This record gives sequence, C-alpha cells and structure tokens, in this order.
Amino acid sequence: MTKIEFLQQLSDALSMLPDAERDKALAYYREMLDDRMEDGMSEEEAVNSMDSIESIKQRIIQETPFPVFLHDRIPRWRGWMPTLLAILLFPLWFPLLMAGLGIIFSFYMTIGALIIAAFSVVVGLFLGGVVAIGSGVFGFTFSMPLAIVSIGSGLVLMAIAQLLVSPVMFFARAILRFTRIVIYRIKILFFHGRGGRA
Amino acid sequence: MDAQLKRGLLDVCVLAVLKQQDSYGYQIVKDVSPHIEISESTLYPILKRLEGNRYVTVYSVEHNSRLRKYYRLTPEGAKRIGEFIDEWKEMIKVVHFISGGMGK
Repeated sequence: MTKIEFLQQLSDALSMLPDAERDKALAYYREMLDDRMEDGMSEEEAVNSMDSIESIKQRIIQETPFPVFLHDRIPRWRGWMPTLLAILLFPLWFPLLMAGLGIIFSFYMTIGALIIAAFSVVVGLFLGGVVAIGSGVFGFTFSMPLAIVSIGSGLVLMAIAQLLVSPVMFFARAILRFTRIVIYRIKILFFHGRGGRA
Repeated sequence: MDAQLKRGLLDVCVLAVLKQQDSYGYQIVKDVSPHIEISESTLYPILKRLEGNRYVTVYSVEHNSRLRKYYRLTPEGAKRIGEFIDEWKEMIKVVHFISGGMGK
C-alpha cells in the first residue's frame, strides 16, 4: 500500500468524525509516515509498520468523547430564536432528556449491581462458612455429632467461596469489557456517516 | 502489564521525555519504546489527552518543506511528573516490603 492509499483508507475509516478531528488524525499519521521514511524506511515498510486501519479507527473512536462527535452536527446557536424555541419547547425536550439520562443511569446501575451481586455470593458463602464453623466449635459440648456436621459444612462453604473467587473476578472483568464494547458500538451506531460538512 | 496501569504510566513517560526537550511524535515513540511498549497509535490519544489537560502545548516547525508538530511541556506538566514520582515512591516502599518477606 502506498502512503496516499493508507491515508485515504484512514480518512474513509474516520468519516464519522467531525472534519477538524479527522484532519488532526490524518496530519499525525502523515507526519509519522514521513518521519519513518526519512529515517530510512521505504514507503511500503513505513506503511506496514503502522497498526491496521481498523485498530487505529477503533482506538481513536474509543478515545473520542461523545460531545466531540456532535461538533459539526449541531447547527449554530445564533441570535434569540433558538433560545426562544428552547424555552417554548421545554416541556417537550426536558422529559426526553431526563428519560435519556435515566436510561444511561440505569445502564450503569445494572452493571454495578451485577458486579456487586457476584462478589456478594462469594462473601456470603465465606461468612456463612465462618458462622457454621463458629457455632460448631461452641456447640461441641452440647452435641458432638451436630458440631462436627456444622464445622464440616462450614469448611465446605468456605471452600466453595474460595473456588468461586477466580470465576467471579473473571466475570467482573468481562462485564467491564462488555461495557466498553457497548459504548463503542453505540458511538459507531449513532454517529455513522459523514461527520463534517462536505 | 495491566492495561489500566500501563495507560497511566505512558502518559507520564511522554511527559518525562518532553522534560528533556521539546519533541515530535516519531521521536517520542523512539525515546519511550526502549522502556515500555508504545506504538504510534497508542501515542496519538495520549498526546491529545495531555494537550487537553494542558500538560503540553503544541507548535509547528517547518522541516523539509512540511510541517512537523512539536510538543512542549508546561509547568503543570512538570508538576504532574513530580506528583507521579511521589505517588510511586509510596508504592515502591510497599513493594520492597512485600518482596522482602519472600525468599528469606
């Protein structure tokens, strides 16, 4: 691939960004390619030394905050007309905004609740085991067989808790990774298409 | 290395390189690479973030009839390096304690 082809493909991949952002990214990669070629690499070597267009695109979009995507898409707020409209249409957009914020809030709450629930299972089992062992030890004088059962089950509970630590950590990490992917997909979905003015 | 940990480290690595002298993208990658893995794609969002936080400023210099973007450390950026080192001095003390307890 030539340098021009690479930059063109990158420009296409970043089409959903506003013009200013896309130009900055292209300028950066153009400079990086030029510097590598100046350092002795051939054009082809320099292009091959870059990360793939897809991973560059993913990283840039993931790192770009939501508001930046709207830069070129929101018409300018000129004069008193938009302000008047905003005030008049308040009963319309305000509840929608609240609903939107509510959805975002509950999304994060759900994620948090899932993670807390998973850890609670482990903590609960462990504490249950501690209580069972404790009451077994104290009840030794009352009834030895029952005390042994209690201590035994307590040990089993603690063992299960210990075995679950690994899967729960993996589960929590997977959920966080999932969240990041969902946000990325939402960005792609909502802001797909030509970002800037043509 | 843990991804989140690395992310925080790389930001300050770039600042540290700029503390020596102003530099540009490719040179920064070359200077940081021997110490910690960094690619040009990793560096780009870092530079944007550092600029957004006012830890660095950007200016252009003409080089071989093209424009090269140079980055300069700001006083806030220098302060950030100091804060980072202080944070990690604490961390290193704890690591010494932990590793001191093993292999004895």
